[in-house]
Amino acid sequence: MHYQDRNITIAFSFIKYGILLFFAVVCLFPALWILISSFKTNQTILASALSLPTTLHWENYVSAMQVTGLPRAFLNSIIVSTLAVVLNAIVALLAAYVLARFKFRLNTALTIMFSLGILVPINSAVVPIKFIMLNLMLDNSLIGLIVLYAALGLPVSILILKSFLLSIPVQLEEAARIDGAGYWKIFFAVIFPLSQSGLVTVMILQFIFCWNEFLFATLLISTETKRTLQIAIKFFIGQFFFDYGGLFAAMVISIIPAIIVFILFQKKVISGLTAGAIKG
Amino acid sequence: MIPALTLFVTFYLIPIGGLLYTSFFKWDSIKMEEFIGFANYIQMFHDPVFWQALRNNISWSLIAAFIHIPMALLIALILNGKPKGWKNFRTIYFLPHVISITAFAVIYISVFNPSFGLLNAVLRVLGMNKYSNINWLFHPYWAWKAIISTWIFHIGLFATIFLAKITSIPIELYEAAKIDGASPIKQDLCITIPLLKNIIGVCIILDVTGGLRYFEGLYIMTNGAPNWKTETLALLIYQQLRLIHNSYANTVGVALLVLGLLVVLLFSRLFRLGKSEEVAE
Repeated sequence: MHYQDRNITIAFSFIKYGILLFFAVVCLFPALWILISSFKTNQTILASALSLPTTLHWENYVSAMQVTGLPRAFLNSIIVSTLAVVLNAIVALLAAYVLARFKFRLNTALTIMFSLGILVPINSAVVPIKFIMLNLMLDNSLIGLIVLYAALGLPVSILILKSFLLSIPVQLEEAARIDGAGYWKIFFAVIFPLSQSGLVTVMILQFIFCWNEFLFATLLISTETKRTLQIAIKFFIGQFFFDYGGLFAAMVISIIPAIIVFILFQKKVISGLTAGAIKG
Repeated sequence: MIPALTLFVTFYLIPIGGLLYTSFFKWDSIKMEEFIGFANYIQMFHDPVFWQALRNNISWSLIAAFIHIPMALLIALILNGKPKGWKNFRTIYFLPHVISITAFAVIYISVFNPSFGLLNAVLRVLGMNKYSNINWLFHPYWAWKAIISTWIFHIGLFATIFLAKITSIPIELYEAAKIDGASPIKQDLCITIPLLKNIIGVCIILDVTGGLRYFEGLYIMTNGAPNWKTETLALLIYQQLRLIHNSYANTVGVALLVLGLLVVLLFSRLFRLGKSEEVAE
């Protein structure tokens, strides 16, 4: 009896690890392959895909930086993402505070409205958005992107922050009010410090969204110098023609920041990306 | 509240309202033109590309709901047993969600390259030479399958969500079942999965609506080739916009919106979201 049980358990473990390994390989291999191949010369890449490079050919990285508008695009992405995230966080916190604390007739309606923002495929409204941007003179401008990204990220941020604020005890604000503090004073002195954790989560989440955003960036930006990193990536294929080594090097440079952020802020990143689903 | 409302109204409500409104007009240049009623919609329903795109969207949604999510659930259940190194697995699984889709798309173009790509190289090593020279992204039959394969194994996000929810199930339930003599698998089936019903429904909705939004990879990898086989509604909208067929783009946009709403309603109903929470309390 025990023997049979043990064998079944071992077989099970085998299957389990097999499954886990399979997914791990599929998730990891493309990126790993690019990394390894970026150090090979073009001939080696074309000849044998699975071999390891004999020496590390760093010149691929040099040409990657020179050929593309990588540095510029990188900078653009940083500017757009950071500013959009800050704008989004401030606006969302204000709105979340109102939704969490003040009971007024429109409260439920507004919450539902923002929730729908998460579910609606905003891709469908691509044309009107372009039109609006043209009319607001924000087309082909980084500022336009910043404002748009802040707006697109609002539903998620508001909902996460709202449920976060709901879990903060009201007593602190009531105490402040008794001491005579007005609305804004309460907000800055009490709410803002307490929301640090929630804000960090939301900001990381939004940062990832803004950094990786492609559709609206391609839609709105037409000048080469204003491109964000993702747009630049798209153009790599044409720019590198047959210099696959350079292409791979450029790709590695592009994804390294995201990976570094992920490794450093792992817990926060994961909690941010999953919070949207769990709380919503 | 006012800034949030302004932004939301400007970039969510007005565009969607404008979408519906202008789909009844002819708008092929910068100026709006005459009211032509349902002509746009009739044109859309006669367009074979639209139907192909719709078919692809539906197939994507079905795969997302009934293959992708269950796989994520399976992984979550396996990881719940905390086998050795499970944290590392979780990190690896999450990686694709952190790297931008655009970057992945460009990477995958190389992976699918017929001569030196990773996939074909591996196939050659495995001796499957019949398949090892296919130009995956341009093949009429394999292109769509190749596209699906780029995301279907990225189960990290949902697996992590499920895992987090599983850990919130009180352990007494499992202990009671064990006393009753239930094997681990039976425990999973009868306790874990029913209790996860809500979050499974939410994840399905998120996954499907995310799939409807998917644009980056398609645009970069195939742009609808070959012969519209990998076209989807989101891609179609963008292509029409670039051709300045504004009103047609908006019409397809309305179609996409309607599809999105239908999906949400359908799966909400199916999983009775919002109601079973009260029952469970």
